[in-house]
Amino acid sequence: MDSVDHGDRMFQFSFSSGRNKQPRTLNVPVNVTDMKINEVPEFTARLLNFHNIPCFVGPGLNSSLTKFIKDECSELKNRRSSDCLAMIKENPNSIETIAKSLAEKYEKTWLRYSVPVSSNLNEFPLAYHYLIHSPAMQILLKLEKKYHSDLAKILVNKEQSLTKMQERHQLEMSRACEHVGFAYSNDDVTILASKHLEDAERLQSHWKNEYLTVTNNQKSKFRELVINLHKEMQGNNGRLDDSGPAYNKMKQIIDETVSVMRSSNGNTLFNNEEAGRSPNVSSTTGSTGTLMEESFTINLGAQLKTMHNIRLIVTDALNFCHYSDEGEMEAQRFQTAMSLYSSSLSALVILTDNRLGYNSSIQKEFSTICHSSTEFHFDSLKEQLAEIEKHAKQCENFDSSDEMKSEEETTFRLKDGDFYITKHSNLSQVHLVFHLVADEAKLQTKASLTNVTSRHPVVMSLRQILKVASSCDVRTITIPLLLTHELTEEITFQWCVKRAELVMKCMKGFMMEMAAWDGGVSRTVQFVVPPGVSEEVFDKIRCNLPEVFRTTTTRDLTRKKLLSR
Amino acid sequence: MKTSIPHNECGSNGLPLTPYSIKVLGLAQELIALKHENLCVYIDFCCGKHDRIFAVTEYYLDSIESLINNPPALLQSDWNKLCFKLTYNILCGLKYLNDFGIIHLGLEPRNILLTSNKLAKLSNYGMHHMTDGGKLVLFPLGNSKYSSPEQIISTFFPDVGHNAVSSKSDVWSVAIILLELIHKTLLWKDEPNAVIIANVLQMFKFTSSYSVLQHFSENFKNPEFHISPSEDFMGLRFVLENSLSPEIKHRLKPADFINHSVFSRFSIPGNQANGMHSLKSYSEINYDADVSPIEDLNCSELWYLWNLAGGDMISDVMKSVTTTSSITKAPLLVSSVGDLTGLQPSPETLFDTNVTLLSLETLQKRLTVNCDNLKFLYPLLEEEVGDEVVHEASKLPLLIRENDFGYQVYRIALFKRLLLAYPYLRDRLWKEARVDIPPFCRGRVWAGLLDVMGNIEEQYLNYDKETPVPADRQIAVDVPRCHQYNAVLSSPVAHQKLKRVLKAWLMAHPNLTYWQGLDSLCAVFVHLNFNDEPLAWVSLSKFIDKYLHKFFLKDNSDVIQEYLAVFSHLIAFHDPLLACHLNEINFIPDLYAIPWFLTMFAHVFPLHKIVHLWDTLLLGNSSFPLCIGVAILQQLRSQLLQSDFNECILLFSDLPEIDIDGVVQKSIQIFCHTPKSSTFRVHARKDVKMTRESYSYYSEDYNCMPKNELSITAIPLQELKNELCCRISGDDLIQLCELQGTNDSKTPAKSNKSAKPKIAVIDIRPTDEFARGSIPSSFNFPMRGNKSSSNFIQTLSQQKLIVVVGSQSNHEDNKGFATELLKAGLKGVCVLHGGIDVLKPTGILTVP
Repeated sequence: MDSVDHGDRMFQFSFSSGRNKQPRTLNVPVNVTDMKINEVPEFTARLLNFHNIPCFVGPGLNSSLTKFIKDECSELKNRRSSDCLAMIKENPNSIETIAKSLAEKYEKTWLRYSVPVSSNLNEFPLAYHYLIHSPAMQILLKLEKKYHSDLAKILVNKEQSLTKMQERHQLEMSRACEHVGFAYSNDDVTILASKHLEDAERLQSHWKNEYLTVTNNQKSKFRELVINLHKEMQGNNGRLDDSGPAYNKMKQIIDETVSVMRSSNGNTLFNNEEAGRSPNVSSTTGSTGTLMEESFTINLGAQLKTMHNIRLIVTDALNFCHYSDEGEMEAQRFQTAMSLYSSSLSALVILTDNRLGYNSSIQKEFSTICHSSTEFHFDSLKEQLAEIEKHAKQCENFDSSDEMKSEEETTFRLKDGDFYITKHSNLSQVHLVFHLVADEAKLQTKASLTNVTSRHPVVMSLRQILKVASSCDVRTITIPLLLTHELTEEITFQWCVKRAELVMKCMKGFMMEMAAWDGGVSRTVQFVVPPGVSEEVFDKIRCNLPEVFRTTTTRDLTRKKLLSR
Repeated sequence: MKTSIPHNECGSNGLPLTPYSIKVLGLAQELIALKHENLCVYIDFCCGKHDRIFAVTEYYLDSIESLINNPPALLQSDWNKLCFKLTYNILCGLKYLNDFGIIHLGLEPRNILLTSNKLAKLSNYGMHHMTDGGKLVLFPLGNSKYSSPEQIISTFFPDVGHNAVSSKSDVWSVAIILLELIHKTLLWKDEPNAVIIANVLQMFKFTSSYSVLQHFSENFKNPEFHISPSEDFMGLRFVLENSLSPEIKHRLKPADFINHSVFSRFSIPGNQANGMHSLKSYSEINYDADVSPIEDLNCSELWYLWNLAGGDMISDVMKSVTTTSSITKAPLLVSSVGDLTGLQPSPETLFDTNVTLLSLETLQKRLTVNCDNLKFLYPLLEEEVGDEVVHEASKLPLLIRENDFGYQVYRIALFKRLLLAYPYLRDRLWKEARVDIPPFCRGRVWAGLLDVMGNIEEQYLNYDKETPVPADRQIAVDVPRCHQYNAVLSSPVAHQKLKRVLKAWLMAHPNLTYWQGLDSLCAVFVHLNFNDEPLAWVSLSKFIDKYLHKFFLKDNSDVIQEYLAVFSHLIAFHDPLLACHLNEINFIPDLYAIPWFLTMFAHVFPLHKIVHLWDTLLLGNSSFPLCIGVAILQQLRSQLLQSDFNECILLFSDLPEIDIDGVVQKSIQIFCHTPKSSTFRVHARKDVKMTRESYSYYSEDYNCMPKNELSITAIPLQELKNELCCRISGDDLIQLCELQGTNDSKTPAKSNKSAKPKIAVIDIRPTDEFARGSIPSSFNFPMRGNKSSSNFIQTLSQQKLIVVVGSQSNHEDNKGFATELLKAGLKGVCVLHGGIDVLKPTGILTVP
């Protein structure tokens, strides 16, 4: 009975409105916990008006009502607090648990009680951020580039030795097969095959180890150098110290690799290989690179307007990740490195299937790009994915603890609309990648035109992505406009236009909402359309875009010109 | 002198919920209004990035904690006296808070600050209130050591503990602090938090405060309880015994203590002494005892100027705390319903009780520089006008002036005095407001300009703001959609206030009704007077009376139609080309201008633009909004001229950015070039007593002036709508052409000699009638039988005002001729109301 007492009381007040009039009694229901003491005069005024009570009764009514509320309220609180005490009186052992969990809560939420964050966790980011905005930037980038090419060399060597081995194996095998029954018995062939397998495994693991040692080496050395150089520069009034040990060490590494390459004549080899590789890459980018593009500036909001930039690009989504050629690489690297620890990040959304790891083609390609250079700042993609899987499994366990499934461990699946985030410092234009779980095949069907609405989990999670993006200061975000990375035969002109319209409209709504979350920060949203889309489709989308988002036109400028004249 | 209190993320999922940080921000606004000598004022609350809230408060370096740690060498009796006085101070502060329904629940020695003359001031008292009892944040409130058992339990079991905490929980904290003071040591100094919590909870065993007291005393390293029979000591004993009971029914409330006889010696003489302290205490914010202008400013002025002087509180705070870079803040995995996992713990998401001192040095320096001209800092209002000081910045554009430190110091000082002298110096207030209005005191200046007077609190109190009325549903729909980009206005507290003000207005005007748009009007005033609902309400009422008379009638179509008709006349008067174009494509003002005028543009523009617009609007008369409308159209002119009907509709449905400064300038210009009689409206308010003398021809409201036979009379709405040109009244024409020459009070102040030749009076009667008597220096251009008017039109293109005069019987002709002139692109065409006949009795007609 007591637990439902919310403080509703009946207040009784008797008064006489004149010497020869009948005394009247007023019964008013009052909630003594909701009504604040400073609201009483207003309530009194209402009572006087409503019941047509002469105003001279007012002060009396006011004071007795105030007293009534005070008394009733404190009486209620007395009871409530003794209930509280009774709880621990009944069960004194609970004190320990309460104390422990409350103390833990304090530890997690109060700075005063929290475990201080170790400062060296922050040291490298700060040092790097400082250096990249200082004259040391050049040498830093040079170092990164050297490390990058070192690793590229190893990858090339790995490729070469693997192919060589494969060729040799093939040769041996074919010879063995030809001579089965003569020089080779069946068993010999089996032995040979298993030996080949062993060889291959050994070589693979050799290169894997090699790769790991090199990247780990590079990473630790790089971090050490950055921290040392930072200290050195701070010691030297923020200028580069030509004689400083860290600076010279860096120089030395850069020169060393060059000289090594030159002396061993690997330079030409490497360059040839690189040249052999890079046309390959650039030829793919050449065909899939930015084909068509259009930029818009839009204003969002009814009264207060925020300006945003929107780019519509026909390109492969991963073009934002890999470097297309050397010259461009430096410029992009520079831009990305400068903003890495700033509060204007860029992010990319790619669709992925529901298994963590890289099964879909785009995920595979993405991981190749990530592993082609050392990740100096974060864990490698593999490690990050493993960490994510750990967390995901934990959540899963919390979610479905009642239904125990033993296979769940092996075939772990995410749901449509879930997404995970990886952090990168070695991609060309993005820092964060949102891997959005979606059944791409289903999203590509004709039926999906009607199935996929604004309530579809994948569309809804775009909102979540924007929310996360706004919470971690992402200023540029790239989104696959058609919710697919490749075109299939089923995809028609109509399909593209409709899907684009849906995504744009939803994005507009989400962006307007986002203005409420972060107070209207201007940002860039890039819509990518997969290459291979026809020019008509692009034109149609380009025309639709300004209708969905009200664009600001160039009219403003001409008006200003007129004014200035 | 500032605390930074970051609050945690909001768990908004699904619907666009109000983030918790916004709710907190709204609740916190009410704290700014609290002022008491034993409280440190909250000056401002800022919402930083990622839902962090920063509180700006008054701060003193000394606190009870420092007093305990470094006790001054005092005699025991003096120490007891001090303790007793401090206890009284704390209790006074708590009582004041309780009167507003606020409890502290976070009392600890470090947030009870001490002024240099040992006056205790509570700080950080708003946490419980602004977090709605801790519901809006993830962290528990209060320092466990000073928390009462029931407070801890209610933090742990929010359901059971609901309603268990009260002002008596604070009393427990006071007692613990007092114990520490008496023993000059901190209790359980190095114990981990869990042990402390357990220790407090163990108190349940005791049934009397005496045993608790005994228990506590044993916990101090130095258990001697200096027993002395002095009065102070007995008082302390009394406080302790009545506050340390685990059962709160045995504790007294702060108010009970204060009214008790042990504190009686503070109550009368003490109050006076403390009152004087409080006068001085403002100056103590600045630790420098120098006599400097800074001491004449109160905290909110200081804060405003500090920001103007280049202060950036958030970055100052950020400098002093460790920050993690944005990229590491990303979670690892997000489920489709929005649950984040794998967030790195970062110090930013934690509740930070640390205080960052903001330096007043820059402000001090800049103020000293400004000291040079004392007239700016201490303006004398009763000086001779000739001796007026002009600030060097006063010629700069408005936006620069609003951000100019020195200029604002001067303006704030001036307006502060003017407002204190209101209504005696109302005329001076008007005069200064014409220059500009400092944003700092805009709310009150506007109230002054709107002639707000009387006991508005009392009036407001008496209007019922609770009882449901039919408009409630619409209000409930509109309020959460009204200027929500503003953080404070989007908080539930603001919604509540808007609702209350709107309902009070409806109660006060039973003949008027709620129309959509009233919410936008109201939002402007609530925004400016957030902690002063009565002022917002009365300003709103006065504003509507003046500018939107009858607009909120149940059937307002006649009023609005007339308004719009006059508006289209005005467009034609000032921009014939545009008017013709809009007419041609049939794009009538009804399609776009209703929300403009019904909300006085408050629905169309963001708040920061509205305030600038209204700064000027409030100085004009009730016809001024029409000019603003024309000025906006002028800005869109080139776009409109190129657009067809559909494009126009689209253009207005999502209005492009408007340069509001340009609109203000243009509308003043338009206003000055409009004959006031042409904005005559039947439905305008007429019954105003002229409470103040008009300054010039332009600030008078034609609709309020006494009428004579020459004035414009009511024109049927249908006729008005059919006309393209506006009309001018006979008296207006006489006045503008200076036909009478007599110097009465209505002589136009600005129509000097150069204005006169700009007026062309065209008489379109037949030549013979013209010869019989006409207005001096008017042209005769007979309507019938003329050949080509193009030459004639050429000669007129230089004129500012073209008045077509005909005979009353041939009004159709007059209109037709004027329309022709319009189509030829002539500006300033109007028709004499009533024709030449109205001028006949005046005797100014002459034979040419």
